[in-house]
Amino acid sequence: MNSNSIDFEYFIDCDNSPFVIFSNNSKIVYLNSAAEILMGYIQNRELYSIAITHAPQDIGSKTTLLDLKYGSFIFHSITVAYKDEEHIAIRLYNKPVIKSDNTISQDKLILTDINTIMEANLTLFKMYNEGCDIHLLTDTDLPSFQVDQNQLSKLIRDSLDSFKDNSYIMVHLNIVIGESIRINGKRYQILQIRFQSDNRDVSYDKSIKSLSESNYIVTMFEDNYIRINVPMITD
Amino acid sequence: MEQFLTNDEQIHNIIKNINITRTLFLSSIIIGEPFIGKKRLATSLFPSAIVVDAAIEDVNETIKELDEVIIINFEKVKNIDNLNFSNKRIIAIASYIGNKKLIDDKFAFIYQMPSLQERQSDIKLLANYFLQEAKVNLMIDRDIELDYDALDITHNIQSLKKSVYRTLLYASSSASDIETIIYNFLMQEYNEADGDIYKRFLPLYERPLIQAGLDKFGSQLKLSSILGINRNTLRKKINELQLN
Repeated sequence: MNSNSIDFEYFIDCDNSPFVIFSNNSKIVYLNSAAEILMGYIQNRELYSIAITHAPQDIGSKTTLLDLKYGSFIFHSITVAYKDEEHIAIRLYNKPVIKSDNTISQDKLILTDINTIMEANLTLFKMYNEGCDIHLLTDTDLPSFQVDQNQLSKLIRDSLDSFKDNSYIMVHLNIVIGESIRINGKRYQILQIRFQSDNRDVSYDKSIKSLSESNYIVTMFEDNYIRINVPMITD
Repeated sequence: MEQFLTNDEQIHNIIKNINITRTLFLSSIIIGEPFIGKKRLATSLFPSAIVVDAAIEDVNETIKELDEVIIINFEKVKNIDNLNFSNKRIIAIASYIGNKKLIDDKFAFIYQMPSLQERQSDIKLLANYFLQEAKVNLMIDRDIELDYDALDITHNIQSLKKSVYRTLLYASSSASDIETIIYNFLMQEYNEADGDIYKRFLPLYERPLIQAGLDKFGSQLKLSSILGINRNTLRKKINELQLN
């Protein structure tokens, strides 16, 4: 079989698993589309360090089972390969995601100003948690979009409660550029709500996850933050 | 529109928060002791909402066609799991919560309303409101002062209102009113007469007569002279009636 004329780069670019080639001085020489998004969550230096740490002893490739989590990306293993001293490549294998059968019911969604929902939740939280300062960073001109107001409020409430034992919580609302959430075949822009503080009470995770899943919201947990990606449904 | 009287900061915060959410389709619940004004607060904020009593109505069935509902006695709802609050503005009211998880699941906004005991600034405000109301209702013109410390708040606004009305009635009663009250009371007692009525009910008159005198003059000697009875007779009565 003659494969010399096939453009492999195109197919690698389309691959859903991130693929990155580094030069020997840790500079990125090539990255596919999935890796472009991943690099928004991890520093070049950190990924390069993972590649070096798990590289084979001699020229060739080595696959290592490794649980890695960056934002919404979860990987179960990596392959590191090199054929000379100049370049080293890393491919990260996406963990299979169980597809939810929930279909979003449009009649439950109401055009909503996200800042109003956020203000109401923050006012209530402050009422019963006086020792915790809230620092809100938002854009008052965020466009309205359709949400299940009750469910989103519960999600925000539980997220805030999971940080209530801290002296402060940073809350940041912004539109995510370059990513989207696909629902019923349509792609929607993402409004991200990020809650961050020193420590997080993980006992709320189950409820937050359940509320997210039933509303096509993607939630990411880390030790000191929760990121909630809400699809900005406008039709 | 009904007015909700309060000077309490926590209740002002609840009102502020509900006002922020008033245009949203959310489920909220106000929890607190009986008779602290929960229903009045909800109806003052949502005057056009339909009020559904969970103690006597099938809530799930009743709210099906409604967009904006106040559910009172929410603790009496059976099968909370089956309630569908989607796309509705729900304000529920409960005296207590049985299952916190169910409440967390059903309601996005959970408010704890303080009791009257915890709202000292509201006691005087509400007492004066009931005083004015009682004066109109009982057609009493003269000024009557309330002893705020003596008002009964054991059952929150209900007992406060009762004690204001009682104070007003006592202060406005004439001697003939008191005679009528005692007469009616004794007529009831005569129905079950058992032979020692005189001995049993004479203290009805003697106890306030002597206790008021002792409180006024502080001295048994002075009181015996005012009453025109012997000092030893007065002492004997005080002992019999177990007065201080």
